[in-house]
Amino acid sequence: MVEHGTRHRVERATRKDRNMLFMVDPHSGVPIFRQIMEQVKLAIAAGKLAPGDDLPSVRSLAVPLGVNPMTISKAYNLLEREGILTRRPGRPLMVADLPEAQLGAHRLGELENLLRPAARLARRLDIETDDAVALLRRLLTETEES
Amino acid sequence: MIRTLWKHHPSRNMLAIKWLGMSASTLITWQGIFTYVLAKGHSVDPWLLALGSWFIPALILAVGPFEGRAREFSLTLPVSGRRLWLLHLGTLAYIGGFMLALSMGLQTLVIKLFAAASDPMPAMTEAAGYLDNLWLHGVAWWLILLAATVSDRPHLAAVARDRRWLLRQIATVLACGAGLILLGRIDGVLAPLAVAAVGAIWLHQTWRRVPGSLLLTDLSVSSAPRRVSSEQILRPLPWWRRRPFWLVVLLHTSKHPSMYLVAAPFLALVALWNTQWAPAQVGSEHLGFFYLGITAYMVFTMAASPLFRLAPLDAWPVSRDRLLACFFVPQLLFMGLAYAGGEFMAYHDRDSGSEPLVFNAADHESAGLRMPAHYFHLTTEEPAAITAPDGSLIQPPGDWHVKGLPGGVTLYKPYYTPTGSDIDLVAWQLERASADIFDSAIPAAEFKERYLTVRADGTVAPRGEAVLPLLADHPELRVRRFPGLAPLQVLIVGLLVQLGYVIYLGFFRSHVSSRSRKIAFGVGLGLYMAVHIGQFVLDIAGVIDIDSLAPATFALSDLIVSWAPGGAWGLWVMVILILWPGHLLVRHRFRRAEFAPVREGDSFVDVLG
Amino acid sequence: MNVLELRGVTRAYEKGVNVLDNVDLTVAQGEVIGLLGRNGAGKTTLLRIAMGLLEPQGGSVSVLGLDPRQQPLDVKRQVGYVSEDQTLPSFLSVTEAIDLHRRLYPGWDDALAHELSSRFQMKSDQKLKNLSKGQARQVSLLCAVCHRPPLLLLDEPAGGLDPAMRREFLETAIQMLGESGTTILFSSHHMTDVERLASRLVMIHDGQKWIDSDLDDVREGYCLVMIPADSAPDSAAILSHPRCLTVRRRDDAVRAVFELEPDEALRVATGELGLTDARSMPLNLEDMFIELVGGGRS
Repeated sequence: MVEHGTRHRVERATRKDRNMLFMVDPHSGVPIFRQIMEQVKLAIAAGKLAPGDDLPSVRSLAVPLGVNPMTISKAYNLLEREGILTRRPGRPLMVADLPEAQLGAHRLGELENLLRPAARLARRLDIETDDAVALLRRLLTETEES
Repeated sequence: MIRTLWKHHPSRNMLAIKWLGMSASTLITWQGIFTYVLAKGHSVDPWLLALGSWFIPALILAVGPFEGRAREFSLTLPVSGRRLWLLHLGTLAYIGGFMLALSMGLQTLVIKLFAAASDPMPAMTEAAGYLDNLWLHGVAWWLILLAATVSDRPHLAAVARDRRWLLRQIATVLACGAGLILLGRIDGVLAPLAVAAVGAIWLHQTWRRVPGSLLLTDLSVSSAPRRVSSEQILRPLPWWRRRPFWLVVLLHTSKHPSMYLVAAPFLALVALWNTQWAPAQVGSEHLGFFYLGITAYMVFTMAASPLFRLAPLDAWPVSRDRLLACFFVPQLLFMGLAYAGGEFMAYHDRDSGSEPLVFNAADHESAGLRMPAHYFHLTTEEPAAITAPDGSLIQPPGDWHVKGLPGGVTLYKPYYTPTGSDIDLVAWQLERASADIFDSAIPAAEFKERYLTVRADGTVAPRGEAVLPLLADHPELRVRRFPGLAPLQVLIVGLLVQLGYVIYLGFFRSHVSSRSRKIAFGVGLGLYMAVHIGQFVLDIAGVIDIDSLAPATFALSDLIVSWAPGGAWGLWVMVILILWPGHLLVRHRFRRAEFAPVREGDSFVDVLG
Repeated sequence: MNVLELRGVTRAYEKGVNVLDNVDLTVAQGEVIGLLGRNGAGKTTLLRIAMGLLEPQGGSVSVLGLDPRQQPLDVKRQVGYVSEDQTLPSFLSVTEAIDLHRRLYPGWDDALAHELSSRFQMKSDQKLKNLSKGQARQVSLLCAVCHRPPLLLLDEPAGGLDPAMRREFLETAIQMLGESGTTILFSSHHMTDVERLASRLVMIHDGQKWIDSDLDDVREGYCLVMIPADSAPDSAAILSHPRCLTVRRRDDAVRAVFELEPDEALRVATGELGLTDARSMPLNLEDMFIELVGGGRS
């Protein structure tokens, strides 16, 4: 359970820059709806979107992002199917009340997505597992210090 | 290099065969009409001749699409501005010179040929007399016009076609025309030479002024466009500020809308030629049906050429019927107005209309009662003998055979007065003739008292003028109209245009190249022109005789009116009924036509435009 | 009712060359179709047939349940059409042009017109011929869109526009989608615009439809497999694989488009086809376009 004070701060912050949470890159190899899905999941994992928060409406995102509203709809629907978002009757989509364990799993899932290609690269370059793990450890330490 | 530049001159497409061909045929027609009129013995005012043969090419040169001197591409080449300017001068001289030569030169040539014949007609000789001056001065003043046009801001690659430019050009044409008319009376070569010299000097001066490189636009800075609010931009316009829809359509479908200005007087004149007024001005009242070919030509041109640029309008939710109306109704209304104006003039302008009834004394070479041929009657047998009031039989001569009508038709005058007729007979015939020609008869007694006299030798003679001043003496008297002319003219032109247009519309399918469409257009024009010129060719060849056929058609129109149930009004209804199926067919084809532009490679015709 | 239905549409300009060959296309309400194809491939023809400006030699057309050749006015009133050859009369001023369209089309929405005129920054009432190409195109777009037509047919609407204007056009289209549920069929060469706007992709080539599916399915369902040339792969053998669309030899690599996901395609390439040096990668639209219909194909 997030403490009330923290949650309040987070809520204020998100309400101001909700639209800045998402960006799309049509040049990348990833379809736009997937980009949005990933960014929603990332936002939840990072705490920018907390369980119970309303998601920005499709219409309000479409024009600023420059994206077909159906694409955003699709992303939301798929997230709903995955259980990450829920729909209440008569109210906009909101972040589902996910147990902490599930949130934790999500966070790890995000990291896994980023690390998988790295693992593949490591294999292709014939890097030893221990060397790769040591590198990851070093990077984690550096990031903590900065 | 010069070749490349010439190919890229903005007016290059004006050299297109079709464009030159069109203007050539139009110009030739006008000259043909005047020459023909002269050939019939009537004299034509020199200024009228100048109107056709000088003004029209001058106007086309002045306000035609010749304001572009060099394309932007040419400006980037290492060619001096002076060279480009000279190229422009050369192109205009070539195009304009061609038109002028065609117009004036042909006319001069033909008239001179006629005048040089073994037994020349006096009208031709008279015309040949002032023709030399006309073409010499014409060329000289045309040179001035050319100099004025190319000297307008010669440092620019293209002059803007704004109101100021238009006024300037029209003023120049009028000034040069005035010079032509005023000074054209001066005989000899010195005067035109002097004028031409002025033109040449002007050109030279301008050539020196041309800078090393032409500019795309002036240094003049136009005022910045006014900033207006959204409300202003989006405000609905009141009805009087809106351009009428048909005008928008006509302007949008025309490559050079200014040519409507040039075409308008043509349209009006062609319409006028179909009335009885305009031909009467040149002394040929009885040419009612012989301008129908060129009328059809004009109507077809006006309705057919916009189709090439109709594609941009196709997406508008405007019915094809409405678009079709835009291409016919304004032009036909305009011509109708001109026609009505001509008829109005014929009705009211009693001074210029010649007095129709003439009585010559016995010693005159054409003795007896004379009247214009278009009031004559027709018969396929011997003309019926007439019983005079004193019981004697009058046999009108039936020797004027109408060549061109089937079945041996002759024109005859039922009011024939044989030589030696007494005054009562003459007065009786004159009364009968007046009943036919005028809207009310003048009694024989009046003729006998006022207009006839008996000479010492017993022959009857006119009291005063041989040309009886009946219209002058009777202010309410009017020459009667021929109500059958107008509906028959409309019928013939209508059928001609419908036929051509229906065939032409068949070329507007997407698999037909635009080149084919343009060829079809040119062929259509050529055919209408052939119909027009064909008449005169047939006349010269002896197949028909316009001198007899033309007046016969007037009598024929009367006959048709008498056959038609309901008379003249009934004839109009019948004409509309006959034209109706053609109209439906045109409408149907127009609805189904595809006007989308066909993209294809640069063929020869495409480059020429 | 489908907004647009083309069934078996065939259209030829020259004998024997079918620009459109028995093409079927069904567009439901609210869809946004991106029409791709080389220049002259038939995109413009297809749009014109939908608009009723051309008649197909074979097949049938139905727009909003109407036949555009039988009821042209009813169709045109409900369609906004923007194309390079649909020029507005250049002698009209902006105000006159807008006023003309206001009169021609029922359902004109002045509020939308206001919004668009400020988005496009229309500040002066000049004659159309004095405007830049982009500004004139914006006026065309405004006139086409402001009567809120249920269907928009756009033939390279952003051609010749600078990126800022393209973005404004895009936002306008998206707004129409959101507010009115407009159906859009547009052709474009700007793949980023297609990526953003289209929900479905249709590619025309050689008169046929090569692709007609959801944009995302296309993005995820196709990939590029590259094999270095010096391992001498057999192009014909690769092409014979049922999931292989095209094979191109370019520079020093052989490039093959597969209708598979990248991982799956790599498995096929290294396994079935025995191309051990192969690499697979996802395709963005532009690359896919070039691979499929660009030159140098076998």
